[in-house]
Amino acid sequence: MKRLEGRVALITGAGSMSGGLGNGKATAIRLAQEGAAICALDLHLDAAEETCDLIRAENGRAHAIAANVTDEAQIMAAVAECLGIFGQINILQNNVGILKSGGAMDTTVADWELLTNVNMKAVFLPTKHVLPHFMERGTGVVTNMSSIAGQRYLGAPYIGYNATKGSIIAYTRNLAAEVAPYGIRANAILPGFIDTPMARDVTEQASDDPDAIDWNALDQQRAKRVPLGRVGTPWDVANAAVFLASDEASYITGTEITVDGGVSCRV
Amino acid sequence: MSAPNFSLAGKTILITGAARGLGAAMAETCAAQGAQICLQDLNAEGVHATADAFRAKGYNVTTTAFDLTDFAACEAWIKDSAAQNGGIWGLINNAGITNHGHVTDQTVDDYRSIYDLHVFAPFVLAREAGKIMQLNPGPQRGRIVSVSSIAATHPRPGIGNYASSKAAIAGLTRSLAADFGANGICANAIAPGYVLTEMNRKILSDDAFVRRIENRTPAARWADPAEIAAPVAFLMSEASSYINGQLLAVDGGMNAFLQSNEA
Repeated sequence: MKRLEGRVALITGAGSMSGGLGNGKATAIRLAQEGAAICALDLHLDAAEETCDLIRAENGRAHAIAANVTDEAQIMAAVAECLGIFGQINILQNNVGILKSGGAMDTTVADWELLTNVNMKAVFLPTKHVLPHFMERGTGVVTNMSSIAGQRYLGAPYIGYNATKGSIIAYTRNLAAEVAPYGIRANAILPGFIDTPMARDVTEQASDDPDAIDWNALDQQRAKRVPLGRVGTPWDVANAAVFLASDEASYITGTEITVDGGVSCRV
Repeated sequence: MSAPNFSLAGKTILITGAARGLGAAMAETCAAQGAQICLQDLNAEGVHATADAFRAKGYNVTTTAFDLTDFAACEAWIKDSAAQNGGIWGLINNAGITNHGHVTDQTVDDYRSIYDLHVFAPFVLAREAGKIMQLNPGPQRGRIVSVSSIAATHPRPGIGNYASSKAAIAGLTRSLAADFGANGICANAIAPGYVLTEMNRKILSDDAFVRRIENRTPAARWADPAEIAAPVAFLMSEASSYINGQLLAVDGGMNAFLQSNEA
């Protein structure tokens, strides 16, 4: 039997930008491969549908929902829709996040408000509205996407983003302590340098000449800092998400799994 | 799209302190997922009995009884196990002891004896196993998982030698990750909270202490050994492909939680 047979996973940010492969999409596919039915939520319905098509092509069950994680009414409706279709939710995977560059002085108030609003509500609102169902069932798993950037400066100014990712660690630890007595677990994943459409998009935004970016050279340059000698893929992140969602992690709560090839453990 | 590979089929995994408790649970979980397991323990009778029980379940098991503080014997065990099994995929540094006492009552020897077993033996085993693992076909070539403890970061009073040696395991793990990463070998450690094991028999007989730990743990219970073994099996698998140099808490939330009043 597959390790997540009979489970239902609600994944936010389950679509990927411009048809690429991001952490949410890879996680949705991996959870489905382990037997979970997938409710793929994304701001863009076509992106969520594409993920669902890939899951159905491997004979998985999937349903796409368009919703904005900063809109409480939309999230409440999405949770209700997921429950209406699948009857239950066992796994909540909060993957939505946006990235904007900027340091302490040049980050605009508008960017700060956008980053904190999206990245922090992305864990707060879906969790708030799935928890009553988890409490009723006396079981459930929440996994939040943080980043190694939530713990340290990574060589370029992303102070707003990094602050939100740090806050997700604190949020997750508090959530875990609050809901553990009810059989609910909560953990965060801290990816390192992962090749995702979002990471490429922000590199392009910061570049004067996006067309001239040599992605292979950039990857090789980053890979030199990583003990495992490569940048990560969304599959690396997705595998950790599958583990945390499974019963094999039954005593793991209130903590973080860093998926970074060892880059944060050395100088 | 390739499926996540949590299987340990065909992988040779060495486990120290495998006669009972956490080590036996880790060995069983790895074997159940397809690994050939090589068990070490100081207690020959115990490890043979455990191996017999595993063989009865159809698992592929070898045993070697020796003292891990005999570092030459450590080297020989790694080399022999590799020769017998055509290589090594995984090493689990699990063996541990306790010898508690208030800092003012402890001697250098109280520290040294625990460091021999908890730090120097894992170092020698990892050094020798890593040399062999790096010969495996890549890109993924091997795994080292060492058992640290919640005590590495949060000791209770009176366990300085144990707690500091477990912190050294976390430190050793980061250096193994930094050194062996380029060879495709991942090294990680786990930090279990309080577990229902034979080694904890003495503290488990103290009802007030048992309840205090329950109150200090968000999950409100002690761990079953299988709940520590399953994360180790994950870290042994190719599914943990990009996790390296980490200390993974397996503690029911204890690390995330500090009560403002004693229950």
